[in-house]
Amino acid sequence: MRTLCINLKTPQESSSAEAFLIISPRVQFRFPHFIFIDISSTSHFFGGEARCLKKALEVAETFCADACGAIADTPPAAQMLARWKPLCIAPPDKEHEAFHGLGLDALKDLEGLQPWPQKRPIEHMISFFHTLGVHGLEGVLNFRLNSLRERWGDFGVLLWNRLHSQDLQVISPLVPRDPLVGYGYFDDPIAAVPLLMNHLQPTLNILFARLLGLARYAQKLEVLLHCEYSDKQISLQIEPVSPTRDQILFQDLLEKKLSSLVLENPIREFEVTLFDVPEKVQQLDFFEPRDNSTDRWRRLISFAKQSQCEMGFLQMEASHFPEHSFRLVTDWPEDFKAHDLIERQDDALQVKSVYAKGLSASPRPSLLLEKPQPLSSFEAGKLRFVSSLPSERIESSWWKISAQDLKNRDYYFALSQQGQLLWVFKDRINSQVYLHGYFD
Amino acid sequence: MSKNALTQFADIPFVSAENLQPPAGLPTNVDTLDQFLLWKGIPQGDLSLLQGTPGTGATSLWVRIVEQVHAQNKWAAWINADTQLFPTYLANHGLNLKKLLVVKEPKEHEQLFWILQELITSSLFEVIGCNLKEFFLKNHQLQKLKRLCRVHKVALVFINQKPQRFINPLFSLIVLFQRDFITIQRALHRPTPFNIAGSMIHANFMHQFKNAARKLLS
Repeated sequence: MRTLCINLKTPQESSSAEAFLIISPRVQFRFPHFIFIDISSTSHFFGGEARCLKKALEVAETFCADACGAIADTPPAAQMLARWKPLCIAPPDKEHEAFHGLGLDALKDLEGLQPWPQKRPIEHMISFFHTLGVHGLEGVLNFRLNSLRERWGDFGVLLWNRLHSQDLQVISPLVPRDPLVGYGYFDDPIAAVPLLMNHLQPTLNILFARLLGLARYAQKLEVLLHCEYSDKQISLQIEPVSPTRDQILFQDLLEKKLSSLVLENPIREFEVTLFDVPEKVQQLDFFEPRDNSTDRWRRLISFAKQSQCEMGFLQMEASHFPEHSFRLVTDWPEDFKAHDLIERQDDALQVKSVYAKGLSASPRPSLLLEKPQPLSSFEAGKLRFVSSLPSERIESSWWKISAQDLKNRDYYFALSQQGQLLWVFKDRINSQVYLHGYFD
Repeated sequence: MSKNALTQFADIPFVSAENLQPPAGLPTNVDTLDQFLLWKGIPQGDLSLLQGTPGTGATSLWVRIVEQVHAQNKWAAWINADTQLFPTYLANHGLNLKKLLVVKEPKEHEQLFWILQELITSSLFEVIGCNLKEFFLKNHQLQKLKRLCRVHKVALVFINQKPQRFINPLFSLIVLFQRDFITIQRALHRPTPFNIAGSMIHANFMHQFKNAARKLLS
């Protein structure tokens, strides 16, 4: 797979990937500013990879003036080359030849669609290689898989795979779903039309680049200007005779409309909405992607993963400690319900009851702290306990009693001075009070 | 003159009072609140703010809204702050965990704004809850979110753990949870501030307490 990576250098919205659909249908945006394009099947339309890269950079200019890009076999290598050897095109199947002369710092950018989970191990790796006297990327290529695995485990394997083009990252076709909407906010309000047009220009450029990528035509342009004083809004609508993609025409019409306005009340922010219609010649597309809600949430979660933010569904786990009784999964959660096991043999019936079955029905707070938070004796003294007896007692492993694990707990409900209803427990070993949740 | 003015209005089709439709809302199932508000619940396609120190009942109100949303087999999303949503509580309230997307606490403020935009524009969710330790979103960011919510018809509910004095007009509904009562600080087309005895809502929220007490005795 040949991958083109564009580094846009400033944080962008994920919809910016739509503008690159003119190069290939397989485009993916990675937070904050990387665009990955699979050009293996489309580069010959542009007359080779060099021209394809040139075209992509032309599109990228609408988003960032000094965008750079590179082409390699895999997304990680393409990203690294885009940063350290802009405009480089690595030879097919021998992308490591393009690594010649790169320093070890380049390893930090060897990420592709999935960023490094943490920055620290990679920094540690780089400093370790320096102590070995390896200062270039070619030196690292000589290490065997086993030696990296022995020292750094899975992380070392991942590094080796990415260096040797073994880390398979698939760029799936982009399904556009964001509305064609632009927004801008001025720190200093503007009352001059030429200045305002100047500020609207980049937003319009981006919207029309996306329109071109989506292969659609603009029917109507709506500009909503919010004034600085009072809640006054000025709404401008521009609708040419027929749907078109002619940006200059829209700009001329907009400028004429703006110049007829009296802008005594200066403009603080603007919203631009482009209403699009399909191409005049409707072509039946049998390979049109079917978009359902399942796909949409899968995509949402994969976007979140790329920006290193965890997202998923809560799944109940079999544990009687509250903080271990659930976790976040990205697949459909399986229901966990404790059932009694009933064994039948001929006419005989045996019920094996499940321990702690009632726990799931016991009163639990809506918000739980990630770690129990110890309360000082002063704070604990101010709490008003709702009952003198604990509402529940949770224990485990009586044969290894230790205070660190907090394994002997008596839970109470308590009211604070501010009227907050809290879930607290007393550790039975050192009788320290901990806050564990809020009935919020 | 006055006659002329009246003839001007003669052909305007006025809507009779019983044909008036309130704007769309999601019911909270707390009767006093639903009857008071214009939307018969929290506004759909708009921003709401529930504020109060943790342990005063803001999250419970959100859970009650989600209960109604799940009853219609629709989706909801939640963004954690330093505390996490506890699934045992949700399961006790009959929530479907498969229809509730939970996001872990974002590391940066910018990221939270980005996630909110992504969640809203995916138009998968009826209601999105966002728990915040401190309210840090700027006005222009809120304006953008408000616009997106209107386009995608999503009810975005912020739950702020540190109540603010300033009543931001960008929120259509602001509710403050206090020790003994809750105050509706802002609600469109309704006289505010409006107080509701908290004990009543609290009694509803904490019905499980009574059961637990009974269990302990028996």
